[in-house]
Amino acid sequence: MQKDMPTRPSLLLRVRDARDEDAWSQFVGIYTPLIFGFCRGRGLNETDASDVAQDALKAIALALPKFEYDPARSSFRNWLFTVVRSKLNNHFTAQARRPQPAGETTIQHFADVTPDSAAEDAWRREYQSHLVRWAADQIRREFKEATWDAFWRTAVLGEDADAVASELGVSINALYIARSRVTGRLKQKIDELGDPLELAEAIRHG
Amino acid sequence: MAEPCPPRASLRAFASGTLSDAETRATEDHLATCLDCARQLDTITREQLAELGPVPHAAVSETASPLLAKLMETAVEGFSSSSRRSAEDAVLAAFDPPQREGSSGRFAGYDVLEIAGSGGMGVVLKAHDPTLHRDVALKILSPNRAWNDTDAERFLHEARTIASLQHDHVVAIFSAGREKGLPYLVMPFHAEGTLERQLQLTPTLAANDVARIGLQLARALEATHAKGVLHRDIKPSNVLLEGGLERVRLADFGLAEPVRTDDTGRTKAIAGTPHYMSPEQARGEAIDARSDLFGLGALLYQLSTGRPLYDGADAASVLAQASRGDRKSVRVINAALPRALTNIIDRLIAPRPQDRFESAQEVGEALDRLANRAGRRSRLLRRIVVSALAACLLVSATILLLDLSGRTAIVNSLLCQRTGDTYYLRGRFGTFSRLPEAVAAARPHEVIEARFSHEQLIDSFRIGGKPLTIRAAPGFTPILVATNNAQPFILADAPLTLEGLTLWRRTPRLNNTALISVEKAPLHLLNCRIARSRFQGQDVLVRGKLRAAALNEAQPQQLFRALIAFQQGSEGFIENCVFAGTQATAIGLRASANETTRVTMDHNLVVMDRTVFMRPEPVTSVDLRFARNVIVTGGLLELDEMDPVYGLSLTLEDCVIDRSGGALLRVNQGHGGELVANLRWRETNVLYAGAGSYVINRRRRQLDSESQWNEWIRLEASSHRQVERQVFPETTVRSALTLNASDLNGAALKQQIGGQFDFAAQFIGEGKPYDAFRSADAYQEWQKRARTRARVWEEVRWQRRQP
Repeated sequence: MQKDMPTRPSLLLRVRDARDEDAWSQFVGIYTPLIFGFCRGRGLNETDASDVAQDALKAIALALPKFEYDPARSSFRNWLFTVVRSKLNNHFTAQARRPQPAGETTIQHFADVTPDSAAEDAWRREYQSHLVRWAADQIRREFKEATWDAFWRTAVLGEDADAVASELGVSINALYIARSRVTGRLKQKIDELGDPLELAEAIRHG
Repeated sequence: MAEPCPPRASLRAFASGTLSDAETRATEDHLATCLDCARQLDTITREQLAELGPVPHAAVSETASPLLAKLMETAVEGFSSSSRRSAEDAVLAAFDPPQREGSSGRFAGYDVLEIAGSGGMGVVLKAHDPTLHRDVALKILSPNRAWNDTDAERFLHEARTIASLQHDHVVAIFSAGREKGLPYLVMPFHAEGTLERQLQLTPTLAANDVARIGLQLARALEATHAKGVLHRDIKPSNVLLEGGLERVRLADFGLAEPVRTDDTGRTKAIAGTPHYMSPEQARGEAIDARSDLFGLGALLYQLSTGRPLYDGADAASVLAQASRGDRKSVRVINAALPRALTNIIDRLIAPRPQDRFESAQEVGEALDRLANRAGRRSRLLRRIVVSALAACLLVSATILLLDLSGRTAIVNSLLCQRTGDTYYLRGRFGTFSRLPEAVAAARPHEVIEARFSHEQLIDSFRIGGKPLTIRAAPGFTPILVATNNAQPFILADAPLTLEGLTLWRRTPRLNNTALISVEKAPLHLLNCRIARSRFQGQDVLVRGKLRAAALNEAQPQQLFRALIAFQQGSEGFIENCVFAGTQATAIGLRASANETTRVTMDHNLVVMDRTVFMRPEPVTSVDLRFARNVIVTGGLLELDEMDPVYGLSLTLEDCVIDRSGGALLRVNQGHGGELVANLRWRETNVLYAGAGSYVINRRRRQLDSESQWNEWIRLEASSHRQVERQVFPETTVRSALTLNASDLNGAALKQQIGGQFDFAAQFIGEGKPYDAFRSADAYQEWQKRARTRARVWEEVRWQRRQP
């Protein structure tokens, strides 16, 4: 049924066009909470996190048209991480330069306290789960409540499939079909962003 | 088992949604009964889920914070407006110098009056045709698109299409061409605006209005389809109004292209606005005239229900809805509509083209029958409404004299009288008793008008990230009195325009914060009076105070005592305003971090002990420009905590500066040697009036000699003149400071200082300073021009920030 849909250019390709305001708005909606959340996770308060996220967004907005999308060479996820890490470093550098109240430990550079590999792992995890959760929110309304419940309760909340099926009053076959349909759509939604291979790879290595 | 089980590969295809509809249905039927296959499918599902990783339970929005939401909002808004603005800016750059009073420039021989709007394709200007003496609309293709052959061709195609159609309900076209490489076309100027603007006032229209508009648009489509042209983008903003809702014209054939009869398949790009798009167009399939009928149906749907056909928040979800054909019947939303009308609309928005009307002509006939039936009943009703309205108009004749520019203004004025409320949003019905409420209710770029002429006590408020204009309703002189000393009265964190307002504090203290704090946004201050307090004028010996203040040791909090504090990266444009107060600074600048802070003062009167106070931080860039101001001050510019690495540019043109015994420049630290290396002081035609020093530094070393000053600041001696005479006598300064409510039109002030201004004007020449209080006509004209000018200026400023 999805075959008839035209293949729209992926979000990451569209967002490079400065005139595509919808793409940018969607991009901001998806990636800003991720960057913000990542900064909060690195110990920044809300104000600092939103400053860093804004710096990162600005840098991204300026660099996107030049970003060469080549999944074989570099992933968008890693590129984004490079940007965010550099903005975080700037933040910690600036903070270290400001006089700290006596008795408090001086906050060191982000790079000094967090080894690159650990930060990168954290980024990979958060990136992954953020996009999945975002996609889930997006497609939620496309399904009937029973279909969604069948998926959500068994695949996300980990409830027993037979129990959920009998509670919803459907056969186990129907539950499996529902689960498959939602999962397929979820994957498809993430694919629309334009970085699908990377996601699969992330899980295998991470 | 009735059917053989499908191979695992086809289950995979089912799971990834790549089967055809028929195959999907067949597989699903099989899966419903075959447990083995269902289990196999679930194994695939689990693999897919494992690839995705764990799905977090909490929704993204649940982890959000207000700061994050704000950040996202500004990121999206800033981006979209910047591309729109840069288009406008580039068009502005193509103007020739104006040749007519009130014009901002000339384009292709037309006098440009103002920017009427801008959209994806380009900019629409209101202009005057000097040959035929009529106003026209100039549509200019956005320069970044003008170089793209497809866009330019499409744009000129619009011109050809419209020109070939001489139709009552299709917009006319006078001429088209290219100027400086920019394709443009000339159309009649429609002062009444578009249906979209009407919908902002009244989201739902009466059934007979819907039918009539539908009929006229169907006729327009009939004509365009006969020429083999689809409109493809029918929406409220493309429908121009004439005579209210009586008559409409279809405009903007920018997306139109010839109907494809050979059915070559999909078009490459999806053109059109998603909310009014037919499912086949959203899917990118070949479309025909029936796609436009869907667009017409979607438009009529919105007119009758007050909501768009698709309720998706973003383009992607609308496209998804459109391509699935999701919709609610009109009658479900508005049961009051006549069935004959809802039947027509429902048929127009049928998902499958073959279920719609055959042609626009057929739609026209159906709507014609309906309109004739409804017309007989409504004419009587209209007569009653008209006479009722006439009665209202009689009552509010005085208000009408003051503003004829919109019916909402009239209604809101009546509402204000009735409720005692004092604020309303221009173009929307409803009033507010308190300014913060109006600010909270305003949408970005809206105008709040204050309709009162007394003092009103107001707590602090912030603009909340929305570009806004707050101004006096024509004929009123509101006085906003700040009650909260601890916080800035107005925190402007988005572009803000204030017009015709008077602002001061009820009980000023030494440690006040700024009246207006501007955070990285442009501030326009037009025709305003800003004072530290209304009682300033009762302070005796103002001049002595000015001098004492200038000689006092540095006061670190000075910045926060500024009437207007510009945070780093902010910009100000201050025109035709009065600043008054002692123990305060007019403009405080906090500047750092690579972002240039720019303040332009044009045609102002400043009577303050300090005019500009600045605390530079490392790597500062400040650009101050004074043109045609009269400044009576103990210190024009005070610099605190000098840092060797910064750039400060000060330009004075046609100004009178009365130092009142103080100094032009005060430097609180160092000798000023480093300063002069980084200070670019430029001036032309400046009069230094009154006695006083030029520079005072921390050790109270004064530079009193004009020639020393010239040498030190590297000026040509001819750039200024020095007279001993003071611009204003003591009493005049005091009355400038006495901005009390009893002198709302400034008549007393004008009388007192008139002679002095002649003196200043003599020196300054043509650009007469401080003429805020004018006749009502002149005031309106001035407001209009100021807005155009401000807007042009805003474009330039924002453009500078763009990479």
